[in-house]
Amino acid sequence: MNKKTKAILLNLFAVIFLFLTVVILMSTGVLNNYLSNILITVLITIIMTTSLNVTTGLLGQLALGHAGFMAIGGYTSAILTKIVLADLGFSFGLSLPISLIAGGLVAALFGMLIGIPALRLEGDYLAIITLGFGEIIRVVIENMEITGGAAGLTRITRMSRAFSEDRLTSSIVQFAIVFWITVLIIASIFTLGRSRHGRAIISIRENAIAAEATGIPTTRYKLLAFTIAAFFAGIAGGLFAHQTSILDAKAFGFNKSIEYLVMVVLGGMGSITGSIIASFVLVSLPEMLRGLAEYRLVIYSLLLIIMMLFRPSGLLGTAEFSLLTTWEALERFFARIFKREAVTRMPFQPRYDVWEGKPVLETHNLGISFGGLKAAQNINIRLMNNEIVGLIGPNGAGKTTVFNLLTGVYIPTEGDVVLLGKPIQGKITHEIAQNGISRTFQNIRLFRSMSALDNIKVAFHSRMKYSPMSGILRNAQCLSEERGIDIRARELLRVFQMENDADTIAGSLPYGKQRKLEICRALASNPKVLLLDEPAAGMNPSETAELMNTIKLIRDQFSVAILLIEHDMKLVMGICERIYVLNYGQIIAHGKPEEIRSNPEVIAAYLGQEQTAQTEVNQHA
Amino acid sequence: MKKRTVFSLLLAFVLLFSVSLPVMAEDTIKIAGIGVLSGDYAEYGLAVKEGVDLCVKQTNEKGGVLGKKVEILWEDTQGTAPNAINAYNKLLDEGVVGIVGAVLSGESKALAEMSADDGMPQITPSSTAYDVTTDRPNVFRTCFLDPFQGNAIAKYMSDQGIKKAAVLYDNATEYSKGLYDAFKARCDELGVEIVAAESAAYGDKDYKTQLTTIANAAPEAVFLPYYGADAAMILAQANEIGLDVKFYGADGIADIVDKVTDKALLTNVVYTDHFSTDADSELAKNFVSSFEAEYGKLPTISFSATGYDAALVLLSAIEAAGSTDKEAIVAAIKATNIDAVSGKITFDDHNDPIKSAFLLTFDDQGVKHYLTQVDP
Repeated sequence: MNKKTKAILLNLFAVIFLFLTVVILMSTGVLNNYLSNILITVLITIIMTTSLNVTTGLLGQLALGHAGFMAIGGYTSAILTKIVLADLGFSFGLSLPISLIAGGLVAALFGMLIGIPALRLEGDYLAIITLGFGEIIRVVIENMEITGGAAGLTRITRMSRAFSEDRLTSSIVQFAIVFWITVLIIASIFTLGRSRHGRAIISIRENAIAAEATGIPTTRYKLLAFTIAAFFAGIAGGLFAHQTSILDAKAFGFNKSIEYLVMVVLGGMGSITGSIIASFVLVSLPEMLRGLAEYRLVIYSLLLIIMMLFRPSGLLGTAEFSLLTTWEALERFFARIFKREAVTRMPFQPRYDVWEGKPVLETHNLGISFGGLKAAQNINIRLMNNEIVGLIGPNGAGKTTVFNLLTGVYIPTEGDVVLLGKPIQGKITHEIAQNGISRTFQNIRLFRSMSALDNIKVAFHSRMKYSPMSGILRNAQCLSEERGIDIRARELLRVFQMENDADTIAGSLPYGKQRKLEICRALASNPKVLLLDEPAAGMNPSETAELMNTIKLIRDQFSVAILLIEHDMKLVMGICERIYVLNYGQIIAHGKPEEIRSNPEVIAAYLGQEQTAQTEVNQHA
Repeated sequence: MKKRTVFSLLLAFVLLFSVSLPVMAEDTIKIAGIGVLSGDYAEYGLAVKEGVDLCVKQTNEKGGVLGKKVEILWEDTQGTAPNAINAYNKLLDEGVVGIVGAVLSGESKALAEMSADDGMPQITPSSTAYDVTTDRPNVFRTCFLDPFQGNAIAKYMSDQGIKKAAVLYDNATEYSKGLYDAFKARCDELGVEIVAAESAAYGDKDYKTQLTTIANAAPEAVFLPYYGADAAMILAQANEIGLDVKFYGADGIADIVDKVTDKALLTNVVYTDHFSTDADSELAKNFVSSFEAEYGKLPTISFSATGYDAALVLLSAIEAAGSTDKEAIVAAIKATNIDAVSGKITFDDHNDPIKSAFLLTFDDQGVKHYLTQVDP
């Protein structure tokens, strides 16, 4: 039995066990009406918090209007069952699923509508917009006739009574419906989170600039996350409507959204299981404290403060509670004698096209002005296949500006860039990345809390084709693509002798390996051109020496042109076949290392004083 | 991490199972008190609770109901519907036979949804929304509805010998329009002629056009179904154009005092309320004095009185039914005909109370004075 089947079986077993336990407890009366109704509230809250966690935890954007989506879903489905479907003569058993899905879809539509303008913003601004949106929803509902206005929508068919004359039976059916919907949603969020789409969403949280440069269409994925969260919140709203049988727009205000956010933060942003536990505790806590009358709000608030003081990153942080890891820990504990299965090593085969004899990348009079300031002008660079080219210059010469122009971070005001014979004008960063220009950053930009392997897999994103739905269902296409990517990603790590670090969290790798991992990630998107921005910065001499070998190895194995910004003259002179020298935004010299070393203009640019400059450059060499 | 996870889970479970089940005592009759006792509208819920608790205490001092002591179990809703449902489920499991509550209209509706399925007797002391009791044979209230006050004003005007009345109201809001419609209907019945009916929106600053039209019609009195702030402006502007008649309002203008600069204008104002601490019936006097003795303050929020009455109606009905059978109690409530603190109470087809409205006026210092009770 492999790991995945085991995980599925374990979880399935646990969920069925949980379900049967509750049903038995309900039938025997241990869980009375009061407790089972609270349980329903807990389940609905779980849907709300886990879905909010998609935006807040996985995507890392603060959203303050989640209850607004719940309201939309709630009202949509309530109006459908109460007015439309009842008039058409649908039975409740039939109209409930229709109205729940409709509620989810309408909420998702609103999520998308609000997301298109809002998600161009980030952080505080997005939070304010979503807050405003939540309030707008409330006010609009309060002023519409079909929603019952400020008086609220009443007499919505209640699940706990509608399924059977017998209250207990109906309550159990209600529990079964809400329970399995919750399980389905959690499972979907889990599987989505582990698919290429989930990795893309998480990579935006980790480092949006790097995600874009790695070929992730960040705006589209922000929107996807937002829409999915809204869809699930809409379904939760529908369930809520048919649980309480009364909807009041005031109940979905700012406070409600904050309540859910508090649960997500307490559970740990990004941890789905954390959200589940927090929902359970925070919904049942006030009920348990009922006996303490007015003190209960004080105690509840105090507990929140204490929890935040002692576990500021939430109960679980970004980690997940997993039955499988618990199981495996037990297994290892009891059976240390069993040997782990050896990993089949597949030979690494670079599958990259060859672009012989012609320039891979060419720029024609490339330049950009910021207002009156010409940050770069008349840049003519040409990179041949399998070539290592250096780009040097004093601080502020415009080297990183050139990289930003090449990768679409800046839009050039003059000239153009030709990649593999095609101009890439007007393309945005992630498209350029997909077309074959990859880069690393001066300050390392890894997806710090993802594993080294997942960092690489994010870069493979655009080479996979399966849809978000396939990701949720984990169908054959998704699994086979994921398997293929897993092998490729590990191969790539092995080239850099990092195969043993595959499961290490990127942020905890030593500095040198982080640099290597970033290069490795840049290579994963199958670039024709690799831009390295000061790869040796912060490295000690032995790390630098290793880096030189690595860069040569990349050139030899990957058939890629490398353009490299570096201050370490030893490295530049040691591995570059040609060097461009940049000063005040212009190329002042171009040639082989030895020509550059003795070029008086270069020496002047670097030190302003001919004599000393000569010494300096020579010393570096 | 794993140790902490296990710890968190453990904590959650301990908390869940620490729900203590109350010990069942068979020798008491349990009734439920459900309402907003904390949060934004807690003052209303707490006022209700004080009235209800007082009634339960006095009943127990007189020997209880059906020879048993009455026990009231309170649950806080924080004003939300889901909490009202939880409170109901919880108290149902604890064996209550009737409910006083809830306080706000929204939570009362949620509660009524539940109680109607069980036929559980429910009396709200303060929810004025019309449809709380609609199609709910088990749900009653002891406060009157907004339109009821329009009837009471019309009746009082007629009693005062007024033949020509005018109305300034806002036809775009439910409260004002509802009061006007009820007032007009009752005036027609009583032969009071409405010589002018002008509309002006809430929050307008200039009412002189409408007031001039009204003045030209020469009414003997003007009905102003507004809230305090608007009514204060209308009074001042009516004074400016020399419209010197009596002005009548409903409970919405109870807060007018602070909004009027010239307090002398208030002597022309008469308005209806659910209760007055100056009420002169024996029951009301007793209520006010024992309330003051119990809590050291006057029952200034009239929901204390309607709360007291809700408990009184429920307990009297249990006594009259002779058992704690829900159907019998509901039938007994329906047949209620008692003198209560806020006046004589019987119930109409819609389970709303047919009872007296209190009429109040002000002196030139802005102090409220009880005028009379009106049975419309």
